[in-house]
Amino acid sequence: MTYPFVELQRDPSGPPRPVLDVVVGEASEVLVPCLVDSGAMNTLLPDWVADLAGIDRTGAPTTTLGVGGSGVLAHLVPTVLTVGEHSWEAEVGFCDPWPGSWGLLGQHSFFRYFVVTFRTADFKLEIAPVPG
Amino acid sequence: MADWPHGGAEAAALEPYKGRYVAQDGLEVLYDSDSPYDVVRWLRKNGLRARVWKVPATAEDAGSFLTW
Repeated sequence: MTYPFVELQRDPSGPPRPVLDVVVGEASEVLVPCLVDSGAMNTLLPDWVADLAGIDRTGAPTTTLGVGGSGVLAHLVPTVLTVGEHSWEAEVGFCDPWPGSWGLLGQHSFFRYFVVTFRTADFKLEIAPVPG
Repeated sequence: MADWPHGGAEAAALEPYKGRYVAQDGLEVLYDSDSPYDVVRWLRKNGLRARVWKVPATAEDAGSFLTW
């Protein structure tokens, strides 16, 4: 599966970013853009996504993560994620507050499951499920 | 921008919505609000599917956050 990078507006801008649209849980009408971030260990989303997807965080383990130089509280919940036609279940940290515009797809819950090729020269991202 | 995926058209479409939550379908912004809940409520009311996000207003919004 090949996806174009996402362009940002002029200010703040910079080059297009490797972002994938992810369906979270069963909220298939909502595509949540997530930065494919090989420097992130965890897959993290803003807390409002869990609300809108009907994901219950009651009793979920929590941890404080360092995001963007400050601490955020994350509820860790096993969650079904879907990109294109491929779905997988992985632990997602739903964070409040959340400082960014998009979620993060990190090592534990995304790169573990996909072979990822960054084609930055032509602003494209290729992903393929890990065989087996 | 000429070599960008949409030749800068996506960037231009997002420019008026900095800091707003939007429902984005391709290069078109369908709806905007200061609340993601409002955006999704609108999507569901109209039976639509779209990317829902907050258009970055600052460089930090659009950052790659080191996490641990």
